[in-house]
This record gives sequence, C-alpha cells and structure tokens, in this order.
Amino acid sequence: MQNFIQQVMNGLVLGSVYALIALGLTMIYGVLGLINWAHGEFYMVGAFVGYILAVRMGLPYFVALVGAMLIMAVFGIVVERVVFLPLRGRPNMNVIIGTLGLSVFLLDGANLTMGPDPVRFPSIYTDQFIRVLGISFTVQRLLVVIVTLVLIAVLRLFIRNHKLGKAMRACSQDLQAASLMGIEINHVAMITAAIAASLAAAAGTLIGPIFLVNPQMSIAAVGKAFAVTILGGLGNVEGAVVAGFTLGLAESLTVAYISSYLKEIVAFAILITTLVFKPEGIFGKHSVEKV
Amino acid sequence: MKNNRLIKILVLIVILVAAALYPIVVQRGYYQHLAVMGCIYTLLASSLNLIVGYTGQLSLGHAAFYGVGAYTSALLTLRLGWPVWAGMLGAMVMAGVFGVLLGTPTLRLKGSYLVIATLGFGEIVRLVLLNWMSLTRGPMGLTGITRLAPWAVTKAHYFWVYFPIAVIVVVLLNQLVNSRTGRALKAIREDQVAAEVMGINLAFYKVLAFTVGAVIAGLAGSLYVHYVTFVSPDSFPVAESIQILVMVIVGGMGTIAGPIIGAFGIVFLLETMRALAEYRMVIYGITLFVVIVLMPDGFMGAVRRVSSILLQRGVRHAPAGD
Amino acid sequence: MIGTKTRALVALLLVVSVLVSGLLVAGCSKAEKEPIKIGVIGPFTGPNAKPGGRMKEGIELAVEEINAKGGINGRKIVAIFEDDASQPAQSVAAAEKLTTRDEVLLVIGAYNSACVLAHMQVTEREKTPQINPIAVATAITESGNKYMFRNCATNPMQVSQLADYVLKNFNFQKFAMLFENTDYGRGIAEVFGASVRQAGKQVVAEEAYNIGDTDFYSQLTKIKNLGPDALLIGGNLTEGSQIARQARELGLNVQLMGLGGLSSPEFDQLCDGANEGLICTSYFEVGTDDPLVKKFVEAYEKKFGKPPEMFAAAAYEAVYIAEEAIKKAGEHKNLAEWRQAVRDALAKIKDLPGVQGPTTFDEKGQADKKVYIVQWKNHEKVILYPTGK
Repeated sequence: MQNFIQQVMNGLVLGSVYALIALGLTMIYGVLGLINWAHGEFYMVGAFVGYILAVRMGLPYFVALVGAMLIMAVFGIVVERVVFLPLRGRPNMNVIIGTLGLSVFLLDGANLTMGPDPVRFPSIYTDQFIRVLGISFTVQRLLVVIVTLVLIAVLRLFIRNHKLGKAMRACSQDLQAASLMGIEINHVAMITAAIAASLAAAAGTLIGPIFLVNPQMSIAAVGKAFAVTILGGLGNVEGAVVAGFTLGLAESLTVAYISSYLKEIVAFAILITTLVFKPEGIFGKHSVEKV
Repeated sequence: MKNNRLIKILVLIVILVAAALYPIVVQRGYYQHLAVMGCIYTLLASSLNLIVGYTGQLSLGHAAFYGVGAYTSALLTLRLGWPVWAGMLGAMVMAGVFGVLLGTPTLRLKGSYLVIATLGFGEIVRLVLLNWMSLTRGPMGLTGITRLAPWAVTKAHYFWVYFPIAVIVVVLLNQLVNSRTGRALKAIREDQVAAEVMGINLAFYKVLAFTVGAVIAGLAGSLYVHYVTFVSPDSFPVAESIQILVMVIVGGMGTIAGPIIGAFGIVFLLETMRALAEYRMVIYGITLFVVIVLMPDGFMGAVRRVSSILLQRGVRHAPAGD
Repeated sequence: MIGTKTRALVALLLVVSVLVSGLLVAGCSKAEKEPIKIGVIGPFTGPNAKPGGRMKEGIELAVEEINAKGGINGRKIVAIFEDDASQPAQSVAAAEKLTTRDEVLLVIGAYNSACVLAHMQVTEREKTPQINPIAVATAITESGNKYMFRNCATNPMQVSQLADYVLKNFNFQKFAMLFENTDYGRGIAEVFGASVRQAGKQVVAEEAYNIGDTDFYSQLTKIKNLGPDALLIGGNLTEGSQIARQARELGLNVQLMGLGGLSSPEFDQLCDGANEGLICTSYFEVGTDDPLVKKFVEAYEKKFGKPPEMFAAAAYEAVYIAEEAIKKAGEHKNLAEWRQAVRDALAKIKDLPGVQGPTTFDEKGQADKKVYIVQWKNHEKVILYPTGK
C-alpha cells in the first residue's frame, strides 16, 4: 500500500509536467491549426530562462518562476510572428518542416550558448523533505503538483470567462467564421502562443530543480507531449490535463508492477491504441479531419 | 514534342555515364561513401514520396521500415546463413508486412493524426529492436554482417551495384505513378471523397502505397547493412524519418526527380557543412525554415516556377499534397 | 504574382549557390602534406557532448605539448576533430572522411561503444591504426581487428575489480542494480550480478532506465521496498547523479556503488552531496604522487582552468601512445606503409608510462590497465585500492 501511494505521488509529479507541456501544444493546435514540433524546445528554453533568473541572477524562486513565464510569453509572441505566421494555412508538410527547423535551431542554439553540460538548478525547496506514512518526497515535488493545478484552474477561468478566452474558443471551432464575426485573429494567435510558451516555461522552471537542466531535455519531453495531446484529443484543453496525469500514473505504475524496460513504450502504446480505436481522444468532440 | 523527348533521353544518358565514371574520377573514398549513401537515401526518399507525395498520406515512420529491412537482412544472413540476395528479398517481404501493419489500422486517420500515429509506430519499432535482446542483441547491435559479395571490396564496387538498383527502382516507380494505379493514388491525394465516389477502393490503394513504399525502404535497409556491416537501433531514430521527409519535401514531393535531388543534395550539403563545426545544425535549422517558406513546393517546384518565368508562360503550380 | 515569382527565383538561386559553393569547397582538397595528421572521432555535440568536450581538451593539450617540443621526428602534429553526435551512422561517415579524405595517419576515438563498433570496419579496411581511449565494450578488442588498440580497462575488468573489493570488504547480503539500457549498462549488470551470485549473495533487483531519463522515483521506490544493502548504479554521470539524489530524497539509505564516470568532479558537483560514501572505480586520479600525473594536472589546469577528469586523461594518454608509435615507426613516403608501420609499432609498445599507468598491449590490442577503487568523502575522493600508494 505504502509502495502504491509513493508510486501514485511519483506519477502525479510526472503527470503535472506532461500536462503543462501538452496544454500549450494542444492550444496552439486548437487555435492556430498547426502542430508545433518545437514545443519541447519551448519547455527547454523556459527552463534555462528560469535557471538564469533564479541561479545566475539570484532572484527568489517564485519571482524567477513568474519572470520566466513572462519572458517566455514574449518569446511566444515573437515566434508566432516570425515562424508561425508565415506557415499559417500552409500544407501540413510545410508546417512540419518549418517548425522542425525552429526545433533544430533552438536545440543547437542552446547547445552553443548554454553549453551541452547539464546544470543543477537548486531551489530552496529541493532540500526540504516531507516524510509521512513511510512515503517520502521533497517540497519541490509537492510544489510542482500544486502550481500545476493552480495554473490549470486559472487557464480554465480565462478560457471560460474572459473575452479573449472566448475568442480563442471561437477560433478553435472555426477560424474563418471567427474572423467573419470580427475577432482579430492575429491578436488571438499571439495570445495563444504567449500562453503556450509561458506554460512550457512554468513546466521547465518547476521541474528544473528536481532534475537537471540541459538542451537535451526537450527531446524526451516532446514524444510524451504528443502522446498526451492525442490521448486527450488534439485541441482539447481539459483532455490534455486528464491525459497528462493518466500517462504520468501509467508510467509510474508500469515500472512498479510490470517492468522498467516498458516505461518508454507506455507512452507510444497509449498513442497508437488511441489513434487506432478512438483517434478523437478520450473526450473527443473534435473532428478527426480537422485541417 | 519529339525533340523534347530526345533531349530528355540524352540528359538521362549523360547522367548515367557521369555516374558510372564518378568513382573513377573521384578517387577519394569519402566522396564515394557519400555517393553510396546518396543511392540508399534516394531509395528511401523516393519510396516515402510514393506515400507522401503521390498518395498524400503524411508519414513520419519511414525509418521503421528501413530498420526492419536492415535487421531482417542482417539476421537472415548472420543467423540462418542465407545468401545476401535472399536476405534482401526477406528484408523486402518483412518490411512489406510492416507496411500492411501500419497502413491498415491508420486508414481512418488524416493529416496531423496520421503524422503522429506514424511517428509513434516508428518509435515502437525502434524500442522493440532495442529491447528484444535475444533476437537483436539490443543496444549492442549486430556486428560482422556479411558484405554484399566477396568481390565487393571498395566503395566504388558498392556504388556500381547500388546506383543501378536505385535507377531501376526509380524507373519502376515512374512507371507505377503514371499507370492506372498511380492515377488512383493521385486522385486520393487530391480529394478522397471524390476518389471514392469514382469507385476507387480507398483502403486498397492506401495500404498498397504504404506497402510498396515499405518494401523499397526495406531494400534500402538491406543495402545499408551489407555496406556498413553493423547495425544498431541507434541508426533508426525519429530524426532519421524526419531526415528522409526533409529530402522529399525540400527536393519537391510528388515529382520523380525531387526526392533524388533532395537525397543527394542533403547528404552532400550536411557533409560540406561539417566545416561549420558546432554552428552546423543551427544554420541547418534556419536554412530548413527559410527554404520551406520561400519554396513551399521544394526545389522542383521552384525550378518549375523559374522556368515558367523564363519561358514567359503562366505559373503552373506543383501539387502541394495534403 | 510577380512577387512569388521573384521570391522563387531568389530562393532557387540561394539553394543553387549553396550547393555549388559546397561542391567547390569539397572539390579543392589539400595540397601540401606538412604536419602529421591525427584524426579524432568523438561526440562533440548531442547527448554526450560533455565528456566529448573533455576528450577534445585532453587531446588538444597533448598535441600542444608535443608540438612545443618540436613535434615527432621533426614534424608537427595536428589533430582533426570529427563529430559523431553519438550516432553510429555519423561515426561511420566521420571515419570515412578522416581515413580517405583527410588521409590521417591514425585515428583516436570514439566515446560510445556502438559508434566504435560501427566505424571500426572502416579503419580496418583502410588499414589505419586506431587507439580507442574510452569505449569499453569487450567486442571491440575481441573482434580480431588487427588495427584496434584500447588504452582503458574494459567493462568486465573494472566491474569485477569493484565486485571483488566490495564482496571482500563488506558483509552485504542483498544487492540491487539500476543500470542504463545500453551495451554499457547491461554489461555492467551482467558481470556484477554474476560475481554476486557466485559469492552466494543475492541480487534482489535489476532495474533499467534509458539515457536521458530524469525521473527514477519509480525504480527507486521499487528497490527500496525490496530492502537491499547496496545499490549499484550502472550508468553515466548525468543520470547517475540524479539517481544518487533521488535515492537520498526517498530515504533509500544503502551503500551506493558506481563505475568510471561517477568518479568525476562534475558528478560530485551535480550530486550536491548525495554521493557521500559512494564507492566507485576510477581510471585516473588527480591526487596520486606519479610525476607524470602531476605534470598533466598542472598543465591542464593552467590551460582550461579546472582539474582534468578521466576522459581527458585517457585521450591525453592516447596521444602520447600515438607519439611513441609514430616515433618508432619512422618516416615513410607511402601512407599505407606508414600506417602499417605505426600499427606494428603500436603492437610492440611495452610498459610505456602514461597518466593512467603503464601501457602494454596484448595480442588483441587490449592494454592491461588497473583501476582505482575510490570513495567519495566530503566532496573529495579517498583511494581505497590500491592501498599504500
């Protein structure tokens, strides 16, 4: 039982990160209709920005977290203008190659400027332990789960109630109709990219102190994010959250009760099974033939 | 019209003669190696082009067929002592089976969903190769794989075998896409619903495209292992699938020449960019983006547009795929 | 419409000019043959760029020192570095380039066993001698390749030394192993597990992870519940440091053990104290009295501003082994004869002093190297074996 609770806790931490990364990916798809193959790099760049603010500049951890999210929001807007805009409405193939170009550029750019060496990103919460009922974790891990849940709640309120949030929903249903209704597509596109990038930054800055920060972290993240996005339904925000936690728990429990060799396969098995049997995702209302 | 055809045949003969002489003129093994890899990538890019460019089915799992072919051929010759040509046939059959395995369940999927499904398929194949220790020796890979033939000692020998194979496959693909079957595939690419209404069996032709593409990629895998004589799962990551797709798109998909230009162009380009050292991939990334924005139809599309400008004719748009 | 046409024209010209300039660069190859060329293959980008960088530094330092002395037989040496990004296919291309385009006299490299296994057929076919300072897979020297020499201990050599030491000096009954799912990691687990079982002790857990993994809570939680006395980490420093830290976070208080990479200062820095008490093998120790080591450490610190670690030392030593062989081989006009002479000289090397101890190659090209067994205590390494040195 104790083992089970510990593994569930481990799964929740992993799931939080998957959910945050997948949220941005799914929102960009929902609103802009393009798959951002550089999304793993958004997460990596966000982690480095958080690292620079917190460790190199010595800002308090929460200031660095908010700072990284704001800086990455600006970064997201720049990427939307420079990269996504020229690709908007282009055939799928061109979008893939274009954003892959961005991905290669950011990954190797980070290798050049920050160096390939992993760096430690300590926060004051990494050395505080919580030990209850024989299970053990650091305060930072608890923080990951809590901050993730708060961010998700705020995002939900924004999408439901704010004017721009409603505009985003309208765009994700039908971009052309939304534009005819007088919604300024360019604004919505920029806001979406900004939110997606800042969520990725939050994921990076939250997880950085638990693991290490290096340019390669983007590669492992992106495959998982795709699996989560598909399981939740492409473009489905609630779905991404549920699917993120599902994958986190599935991985953790697979290692615990089956075999650690299978950990990496879980994500892709979920991905393929979903696509074959229910491509619209567990909550899917979206048409499979979007685009 | 007749003149045009004559020029085409002449150009083809010049290219073939130049290619046959290449290993004699260019003595350095390194450039011969790049030419051999160019032939292998031509097979990969041309076969992916059948799936992506002609049938409009986006796929990021092509390296899986390549890997299946490579491992099948390696294992058949290594463990069962089959001759190399039999290993090649085995590789093609096995890769074809995987083509059916990927093509059938993903029939319903389109666009981004299909891309992600094929990506996942590629990763699963790689992870199985990595973890099925008793068969593949996992991450250690297989060493000491039989060479193509006892007389195939230098890279020039390989080139003289692989280049004609690439030419034959490309010619056969050209026949295929200009046949009744090819027209059915193109109809599916342009409009699935219309194609179905016209009585084209969507499921059959889609799976057929995947299978034929997979068979050729399997052949490429077999050619690869009998050349390098070593194989490990590291050689077939998603990045490899992406590389092949880049060749198809940058060269110009939906054309016969495009993937060939893409394959040789990118093999040589990436190698000459070695001079840029650590800046290589950063510049490659920017180049990819700029090229795709400026030349959405790839190299062949741009050639067509420029030649139409020069000939003062209207712009004929190249097929853009999905 | 004119806009798109012009854009297409510009783009086409751009691509054509890039290709043409590439071919031109490729076309005009080298003219003079002055310095002796040594090819180096390593992962200078990608997941192993970090140790790859250390390897490069060790080689740069050795080349600089040798050239400062006037080179070899009056000729300067130059190292040509080629990146393989830890990819076997790229490694093959790099070996092809070095042996047939740059026409290097000998090759040093690489880092990953899979890469060496992939490209060694190229160096063998080109009859180019190769010194492998880092990749530890046994198959590399067991393959019968006459041109391959290795100046570091293989996996079984160091793992069995560690197992012998631990089994002799501690009374542990239950062992757990957490290793990377590669040739390297699986090899470690195999040899260590066999030693443990042979001594009549128990292996309670064998868990794997993939390179690039960051979270080991699941595996460690499982291990903790099986109650081992000691945990062997069969992997490299990035993942190893995370395992050590997360084991501490989970309250898994057992003896930690590791190999090679876990003796580096970077590992200590990434662990943030979680490596306290960890026992591991080490190819190279800064703190010994060996004058060669002292000289190397001093020069390295002066040039790079940090103490050297094992990969730098191994690569540095490899250049000196090459120097000795090239010196013995003498001058040859014909490259093929020269390479053959260097190979034969390498095979005859006996008790050549080096920073990792003396080098003598056996008939398979494997050097008989001892390893240290060290323990981390308060961010410093204490040498447990050999004692009294």
